[in-house]
Amino acid sequence: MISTSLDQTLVKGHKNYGQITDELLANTEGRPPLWWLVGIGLGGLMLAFGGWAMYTSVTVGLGTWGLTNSVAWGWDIINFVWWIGIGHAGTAFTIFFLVFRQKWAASINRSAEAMTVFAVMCAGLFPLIHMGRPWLAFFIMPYPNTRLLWVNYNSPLFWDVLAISTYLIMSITLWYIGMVPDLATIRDRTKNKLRKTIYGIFSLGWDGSLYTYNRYETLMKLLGGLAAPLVISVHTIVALDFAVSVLPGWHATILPPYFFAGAIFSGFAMVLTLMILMRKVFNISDYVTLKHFDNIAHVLKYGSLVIGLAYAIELFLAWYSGVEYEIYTFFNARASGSFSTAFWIMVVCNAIVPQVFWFKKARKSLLSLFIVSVLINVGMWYERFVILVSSLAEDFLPSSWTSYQPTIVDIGIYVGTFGLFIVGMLLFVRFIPVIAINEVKPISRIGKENKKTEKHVE
Amino acid sequence: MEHTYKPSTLIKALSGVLILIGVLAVIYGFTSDPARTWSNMLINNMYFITLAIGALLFYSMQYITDSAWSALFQRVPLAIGAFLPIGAVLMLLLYFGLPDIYEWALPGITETDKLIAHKEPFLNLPFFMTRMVVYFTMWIALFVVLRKIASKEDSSGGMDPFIKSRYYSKVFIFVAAISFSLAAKDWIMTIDSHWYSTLFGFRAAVTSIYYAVAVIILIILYLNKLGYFPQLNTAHRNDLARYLFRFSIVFGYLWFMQFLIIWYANIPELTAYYYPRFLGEWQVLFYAELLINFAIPFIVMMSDVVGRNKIVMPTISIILLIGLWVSLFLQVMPGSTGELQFGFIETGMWLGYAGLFIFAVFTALSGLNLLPKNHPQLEESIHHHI
Amino acid sequence: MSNKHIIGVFDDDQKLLTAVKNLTQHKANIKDVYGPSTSHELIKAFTRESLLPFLAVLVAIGTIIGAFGFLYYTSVIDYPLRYGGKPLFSFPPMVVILFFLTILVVGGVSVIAFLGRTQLFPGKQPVMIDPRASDDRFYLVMDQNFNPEEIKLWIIEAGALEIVEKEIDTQTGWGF
Repeated sequence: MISTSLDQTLVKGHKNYGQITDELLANTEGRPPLWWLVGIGLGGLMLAFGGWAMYTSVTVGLGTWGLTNSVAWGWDIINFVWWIGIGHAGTAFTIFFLVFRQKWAASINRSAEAMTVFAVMCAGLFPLIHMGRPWLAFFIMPYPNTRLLWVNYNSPLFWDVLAISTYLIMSITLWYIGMVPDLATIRDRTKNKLRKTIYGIFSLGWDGSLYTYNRYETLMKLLGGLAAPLVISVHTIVALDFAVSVLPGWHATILPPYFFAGAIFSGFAMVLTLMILMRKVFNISDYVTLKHFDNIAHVLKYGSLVIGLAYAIELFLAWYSGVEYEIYTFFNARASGSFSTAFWIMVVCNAIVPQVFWFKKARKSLLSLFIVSVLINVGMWYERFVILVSSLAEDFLPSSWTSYQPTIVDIGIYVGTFGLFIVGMLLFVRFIPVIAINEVKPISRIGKENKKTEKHVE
Repeated sequence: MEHTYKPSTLIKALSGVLILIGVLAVIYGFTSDPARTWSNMLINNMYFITLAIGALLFYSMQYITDSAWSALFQRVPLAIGAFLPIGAVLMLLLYFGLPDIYEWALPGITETDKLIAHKEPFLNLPFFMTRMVVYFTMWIALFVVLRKIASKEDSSGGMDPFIKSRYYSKVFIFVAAISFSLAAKDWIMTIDSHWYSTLFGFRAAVTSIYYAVAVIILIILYLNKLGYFPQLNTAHRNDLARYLFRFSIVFGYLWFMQFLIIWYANIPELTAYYYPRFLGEWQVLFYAELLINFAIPFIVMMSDVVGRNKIVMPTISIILLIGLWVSLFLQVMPGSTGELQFGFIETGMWLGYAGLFIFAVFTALSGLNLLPKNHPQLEESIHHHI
Repeated sequence: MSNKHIIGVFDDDQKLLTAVKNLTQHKANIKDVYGPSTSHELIKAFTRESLLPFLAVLVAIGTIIGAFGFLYYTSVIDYPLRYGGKPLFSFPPMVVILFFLTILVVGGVSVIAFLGRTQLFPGKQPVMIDPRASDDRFYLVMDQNFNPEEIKLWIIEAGALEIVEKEIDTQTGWGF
């Protein structure tokens, strides 16, 4: 790497590899701190609330939800889409790192992927419970069953099952394979016999051989290459759940890329929220620098533009189409009318607030980064709410119009998934290095080396 | 190390001959079939404006992502933007042929067609032309600014031009993303004036980079063959090839999504657009578009080693240039003339435009240093390796 | 034959790279390098390109053909049933399904092939030259086919911390 006059430092300070190992393994060693125990307790409580809500949904029935005949998809699908969207950032970071060779992504990669795994798990819960009888979920798989029927391959809901399960499996694989060398590091360091055995099992007997690394690198590139189209297509399929229908507000050709942009947008916001928190509690500020946040803020800024543009295009083409139902949904139900509050929250949070990142000051202040990143995810939740409920609640037939209110069970499941996410992330930061040590080590020298010794001759 | 480029007589002669062929085609076209000629003019305008905007988007993208590897040949995409003024003039000339292309421009149509009457506030002659002028003013102004900064970089150096370029790149991406997607809707989508697709403009804006990269590859390899860019190495070619590969996926994705959603929901107003293309006489071109723009580049460029081959790369690029034409032909013709015709008017006019394009681009290339010698990332770009 | 190998210990992968380049230039056989991280240059310096991508392409083609056959059989031959006025066999939805299946199968097979080829499995007892090989030291292990003195000289020249001679046990086994 030839350094230029631009500052390219990715890891602050002159650290040797041993120091990096020490600093990045600190979170997995010693006794768990108090905040961690409190967090686990809180997450556990939320999970318990969610457990109760899920139990009620299954034993009493989905009538306990706020769904009506018109609004057959409510909080369950909103939250499903929301969580899936958040999940996209982890894979996006992996692609940044492995496919686009953006080296700065190395120190965020691991936590973002962990976030993906848990977010997709949370997301997957919703359709599963929405089936009503989750223990019969395997009915949706094409297998020679006693009813002699095959599934309907034309159904986007079948694509959904395929997409989400593929995505979950692939992101767990990427995450796990990526951390094997680090697990080996813990295995070789720890004195505790139990820890050694457990990390020993999970590190697959990794010995750091270059021949293994060679195949490992090829495998990671390949998985990254597969994940790139996958991450685009997963949210595309989620979008197709809506877009292939004939409902105004759902049937729009822009929906797949627009959903994908929204997913990356909300996922990056969530990564930002989490990284700011992690940076506060762990000693990783040399690895996750303000420059990383700056980069993410830039992505959010452009993401916000894309989203804002998509809102504008949708409104404009709704008018342009000349279809009265389209015009009604966009102008009378969304922009003004029953769902206008949600609509304007969505516009402000997603399209307007992130524009503060054009100012350097806003990108450099942790507080403003944090606030905006949280607001974005609020806005993205409202976006899904607006898209889903407004089209269903006020459709072609005014006699079937209705309003929509979630019940305590709906809220319970949502809170429960938060609990799952919190507990999952806390377990992750406790037992796995939050930064990919083996990937950060080689990039720790970038921007600091002597120019002379470093010239490559092609 | 050659810093500057002078167009050879061959290039000048070539562009002259091509322009001549184009003029002949236009004269022949207007005497035999004016509607078809106007439609072809729109196709070719859109074709080369797509290339110019795509190249400038590529140029700006390199700045905002801090991509160092492309600094070596960044003057090539910048030069392609030089077609914009010519494109503006030719596009404004279209004013005289609007009713031949657009249904909504026919006099009196608003009285018989309820939908077009509804769209009249947007689809009317004065507003249409105003929008066109606004688009071109913004694009050309930003192109001039970017070029001025580049020329200042050559003369003075330092970090200042780099930072300024980065700033204006942001502005350009912001402006072009909105205006070009709107322009594509304006100029192409409104031909089928009852039909609409929210994806349309987005697709035009994103895929413009795809075709621009193809042109950039052709120009770079041509210059390299003449002895310029001696520093161009396998890694540069590799990255350019990857651009094509990735954009082939993007193209396939956007193409498929627009088709799938309309095919699936089967709403009559919307499927009317795909009916003649998917099932009617345009069927061959419909599949050819997908094959040329997606399948061939996707399969061939999948392997880096094949993709960066000095013969494969320009071949795929040329195929893509045919692909863009097929794509635009398929978007414009079924709605404007409604007849599948291919002859001297089509080929001749394309060649004429290509002549103008070559003239504009190579003149612009000789105006600035070919090698951005004061670019802060040049050194890194020269030593680019994977 | 004794199992003694010359091992150069490094703390810097750039110096290691110099040593590797030196040694390969002199045609001295490197057995392996063990370290906590790697770089692309180092990998390229003496390993062959992995054939995994070819396997992936083959598996992808196989999956597409197989899944296509399955979809066609189930929706047209075994139980022809029309959904929503679409043709019995409609290609666009199939594209979506084939796409996901291909990614799933290729990803899975690649991981299994990787684990098989590198002989990594849960619970394997690793052959670590030194526990620090996963922390901050690189170990350049030489084959015994060259003049040991010259090899040592080159390794020292490149900036190795020390040179050790050690027997390496290449047995693998379960770790619990």
